[in-house]
Formats: sequence, structure tokens, C-alpha cells
Amino acid sequence: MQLTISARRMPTTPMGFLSPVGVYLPATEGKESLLSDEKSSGGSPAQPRRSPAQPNSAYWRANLKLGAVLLLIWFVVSFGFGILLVEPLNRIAFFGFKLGFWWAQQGSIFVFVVLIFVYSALMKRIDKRFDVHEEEE
Amino acid sequence: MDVKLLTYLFVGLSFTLYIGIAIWSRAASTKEFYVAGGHVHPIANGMATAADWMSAASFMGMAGIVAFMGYDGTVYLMGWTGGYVLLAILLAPYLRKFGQFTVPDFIGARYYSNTARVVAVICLIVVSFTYVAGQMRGVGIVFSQFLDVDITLGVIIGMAVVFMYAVLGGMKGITYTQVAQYCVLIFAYLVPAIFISIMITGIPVPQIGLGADVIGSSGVSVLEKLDATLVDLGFAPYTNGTKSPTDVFAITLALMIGTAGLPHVIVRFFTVPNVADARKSAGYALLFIALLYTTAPAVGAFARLNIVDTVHDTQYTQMAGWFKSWERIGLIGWLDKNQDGAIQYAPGAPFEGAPAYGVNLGPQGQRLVTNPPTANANEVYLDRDIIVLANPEIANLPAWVIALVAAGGLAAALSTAAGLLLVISTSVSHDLIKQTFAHGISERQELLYARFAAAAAICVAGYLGINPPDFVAPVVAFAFGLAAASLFPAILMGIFSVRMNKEGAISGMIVGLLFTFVYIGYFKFIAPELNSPEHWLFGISPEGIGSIGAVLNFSVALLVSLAFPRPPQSVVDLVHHIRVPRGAATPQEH
Repeated sequence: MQLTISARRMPTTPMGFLSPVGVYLPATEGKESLLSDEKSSGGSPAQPRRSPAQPNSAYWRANLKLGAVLLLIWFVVSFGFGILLVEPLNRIAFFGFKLGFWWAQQGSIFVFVVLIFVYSALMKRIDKRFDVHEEEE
Repeated sequence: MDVKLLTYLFVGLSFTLYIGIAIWSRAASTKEFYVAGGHVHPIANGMATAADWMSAASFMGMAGIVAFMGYDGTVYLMGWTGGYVLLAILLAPYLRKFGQFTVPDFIGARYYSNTARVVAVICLIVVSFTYVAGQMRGVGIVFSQFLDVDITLGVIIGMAVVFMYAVLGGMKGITYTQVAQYCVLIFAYLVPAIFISIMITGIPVPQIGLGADVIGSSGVSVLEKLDATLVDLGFAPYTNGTKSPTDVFAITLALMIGTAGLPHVIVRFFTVPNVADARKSAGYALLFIALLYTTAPAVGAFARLNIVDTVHDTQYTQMAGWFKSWERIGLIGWLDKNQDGAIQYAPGAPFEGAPAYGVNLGPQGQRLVTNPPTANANEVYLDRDIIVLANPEIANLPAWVIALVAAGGLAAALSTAAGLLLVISTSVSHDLIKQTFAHGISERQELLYARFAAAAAICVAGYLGINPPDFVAPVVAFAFGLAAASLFPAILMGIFSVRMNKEGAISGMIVGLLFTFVYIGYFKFIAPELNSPEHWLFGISPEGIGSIGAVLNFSVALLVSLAFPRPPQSVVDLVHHIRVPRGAATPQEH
């Protein structure tokens, strides 16, 4: 189960990995790598300060975008349909339910489950596209 | 076989299973004790997370809350599930990549400060003990009702079982026990729900049965019938809310971000092999939780319908056995206000407070309630927590179903208690002793401290279960509010903002914590008589104030952080390190 690539093994002291050695991301050359725009993948202390989004910019932006879209859906089905719009939706019949009530007590929960699986699957694809996915075991 | 014998059998078998698993999965290292070695399969972790998360309150309380609150119960249904979306998208994968043992570990390392770590430990301990007390009470209720065991003895048996697998097995023992407990509890929850759904609507899926027509009613759905019945008795319609939308919004939000900030849930995601598994595992966890949470509204609605049918205008002497057996342990009370010997069910509290009984029995054989009566027509006090446990009896289901529900309730309470006790003991042995006070201790010493801390935590929890403080119910609001206002924003900013420094995060946590603490404390303990919408800030109840606390935490942290230097380069590197998945599969070894 465990990988034994010792170069990537986390140091043993809890604070140890804070030391600026290349414990993360052995950047792969040539590919659309996160760190390829950086001077060094190891983040040596001498390096100039970077703004937050820079190092893994493209990957991180794709990640944030996906998260934002999914959280928008999350907000609309729960706070939107289940709470803010519950009165107007309740005028619509949905099988034996009032629609607003159904979203509040059933529908939103189903959507939550789907959202997480969609996130998990799409992130896996994004990880692969930017070559930051985890090694197969 | 009679109910009691079957209950002993089911509970005995399930306990044997849990202890067997404990012995099989003893923890040998701190890594096994804290995070089960870090290679739990995502589906197993999903089940364990679900059992960890679904407490006695979910198993016994949820359907009861929905049954009596109708639409207003939504805040708990959405609040306690929607948080997993936040957890999966915003926290779990990054914390798994971080790859340490505890939540304070992350706060301490990300904010390069032991002060931050200790603040996080304090939040964690307050949140977790609040919860544990409730679990132990749940254990006591099940034992005293179904096994005729004294509540004290019931709690001690529960403590002994948790002790076996939490102290021996640590996270490893707890994880595999929780998988078994999930299976027991979901089976115990679904079987009666399916039975009752078939009895009322003819449809075996409760989620569909809730929207189906009542058998023999020529096209009236369950919810329509419930609305009509309740309005007849003077209640508000079941499917409409009575809380203000602002408050419903705030409570739901507070519960969601509180859920995502609860340490015993977060730490479960440290146990899977890698980042992709952490994401997937959150999906499985919510799927397993949703099975119960989408069934609960159906159970609640069916139960409310059954209760009105069987209780209202029934002569006490004709009343079924369940009514009297719950009356015997004080969770049902009947005060015959109009002296007609029949039970009238109407809105409002029948009398002030929880029932207190005199020594003598009344003319119908009921326990005489001595509380001062209220002016309304309602004569019956029903504790919300009995709905799920009493449901099979109310619906006249076979004895084995009743026994199964008892075993399920115990599984729910014990699994959550064990998970909470573990995070408490871990934060004491790892974050306080090892990281703060005694850096040099060896792995074996740390493991010993962890076991001692677990044993001590179990004793405190047991004490709280036997002598439940009066404030157990109100402090539940504390647990979520505090988690929402303190831990969640600090973790989130730690991942998504490279600029956030220790000064910002610590002041944010402290302001969020204090604000929420004072607000809840004021309305729940200092001036409970003012606890009504016109006195609340923006019309937000103490249950929902955690969402404002979280907003305050974010704002203060962002403002303060600008006045102080950026975090050191090593921390910037840490943030970049946790943002990408690769490299998490190589777990840290001691």
C-alpha cells in the first residue's frame, strides 16, 4: 500500500517539512507544470516574495473555479430553493410534496451527495491534466 | 421471544462484535493510534465517518425534531449534511495533504505559533466534551428503557465498552468498530422506517412514501393529511415554517460551517491513503449519512401522524403499552386538565417544564404530574427524543424490530462518543504534552499518555452522562457555534490565503470565539427571559449566531493581518505544498 520513494517521504519531525527542501512537487520539466514558472521548485529562502496565486497558478485557478461553481450550486439548492424561495416554490406541487418543502428536506441532500462525487471525479481529471496527481499504487 | 430477551440478545451480539474488533485491531504505534496507520479504504472511512458523525442525537433526535417542528426541522437536515460539501471542497483534501495527526497540528504549523495551537486545542476540547455528554445520556436512555437497567449502570457498561476499543485500539480500533456500528445503526433505522412506510402508504421506500398517498384516503398525500390534521388541532401546518427566514438561514449556515469545523470529523480524513481518497471518502461519508438523513423526515412525518391518531381523544385506560412505559421513565407526562379521563393533544406545553411526578397514581392509573398547568388545552408532554425509539411500538411492529432499534441507538451513541474521546485524548497527548510542554518524549511515552488521556476523558464523559448538567441541551448550540466561529475560518484561511499571518488568525479566532460565547451565554444562561426574536441581533437566535461569529472572525483576521508582516517563507512553502495532491501518499512514519 505505501510508497517507498524515499525522496518524497515526509520528514519525521512535525515541523520538519517546513524546512525549504523539495518535499513537495518534484516538478516535471516540459509539461504544464505548476512550478515551471518558478525559479526553483524547492522554494529556497533567497527567492523573492511571490503573490499568493503565482506558484501553481493555472492548476490553482482551475481548482478554485471548479470549487466556486459547485459551491454556487450548493448555495442555490439549499439556501436558495430550501429557504429563500421556499414560499413561491411551495405553490408548485411535486408528486405529493410542496416543491419548496421537498427541496428543503430531501432534494438538497441528494444534490449535496452528487456534488461531492462530481468534485472528486473532476478534480482527479484536473490533477492529471496539470500533472500533480498522486502516483498510482 | 419477548422484547427484553431479544434486546439483550441483539445488544449482546453487537457488543461482542465491537470488542472482538477491538482485540483484532490493537494499535501498536502513535500513527495507528492517531490516524489508523493512514491507510483506511475510502468506503470504510466513509462508513466510519458516518457512524462517527451520526450520534445519538441524529439517530434518536433527528426524526423527533422534524416530527415536532415540521419545516423548521429543515435547518438540522440541511445544516448537518451541507457541511460535508464545504468539508470536501474546502478542507479535507488539503488537510490530508498536510498529513499530520490533529487539527491543532495544522493550526500550530500553519500559523507558526504555539499560541494558535493552544487556542485550537481549547476550542477542540470545549466542542468535543459538549458533545460527549449528550452521547452518554443517549446510552443511559436506551439501557433504562429497553433493558430495565439503572441509567448509572447503563452508562458504566457503555464506558467499559468504549474503553475497550478506544484505549486499546485508538483510531484503528475505532475506525473498524465504527464500520460495524454504521451497519448496525443504518439497518436498525431503515427496517422500521420501511415497515411503517408500507403500513401507511404501501410504498417500501420511505423517501417516496413521504410524498405518496395515505392508504385508503382516496388521493390525500401523507403531508396533506398531516397538514390538515394538525391545523384541525390548532397547530401550524406541518410543511410551513414558524421561524423567520433570516433565522433559518443563519442557523443552517452556522450548522454547516460548524460541521465542517468539527475536529472529530476532520480528523477522519487523516486516515485515508491519499488526497484523492480524502475527496472520495467525503462523498461516501455523505452518501451513508444521507441514507439516514433523507429517511428521518419520513420517519418524523409518519410518527407524528401515528401519534395524533393513537393519542388524541383516547381514554388513558385504553392507551397502548408504549405510552405507559415511557411515562414510567419520565419522558411522557399526562395531566388530565378537563378531568374526562381522555388524553387531549393540542399546541403548546401542557404544563411548565419537564414532568415532575407525585407519589400517588391518578384515578386512571396515570402518574400524577405536579407541575403547574398551563392555560391551553394540551394535556400531554412528549419528549422529542423518544420518537425513533417508540416508533416501532407505536406502529405495533414485531418485537425483533424494537430490539434492533435499541441496538442501533447504542451503536450511534457509542461510535460518536469513541470518536470524540479519541480527538480529546489525541489533542492532550500530542498537542499539549508532546508539542507544547514535553518535546522530548518518546513514541512509547506519547502512546502511553494518549491511552491515559483517553481513559481520563472516558471517565469525565461517564460522569457527565450519569449526572447530566441541566445545560446539556443549550450547550449543543455552543459546540456548533464555536466550531463555526473559531476553527473553520482559521483552517480555511490557512489554506486559501498565503498572506494570512499568525496575528490575523489568532485575533480572528479569539474574536469569533468570544463573540459567539458571550452571545450564547447571555441568551441561554444570563438572561434567558430575553431569548426571543425582538432582542436578538438582526433577529438571529443563539443557535445561528455562529455564522455571524464566523463572519467576524474572517473580517478581523483579514484586517489585522494587513498590519503585520507576511508569514515566513517556510509557511508560504507549506501552503503551496498542501495545495497540490502529489506526495501525500507517503505517510509520515515515526
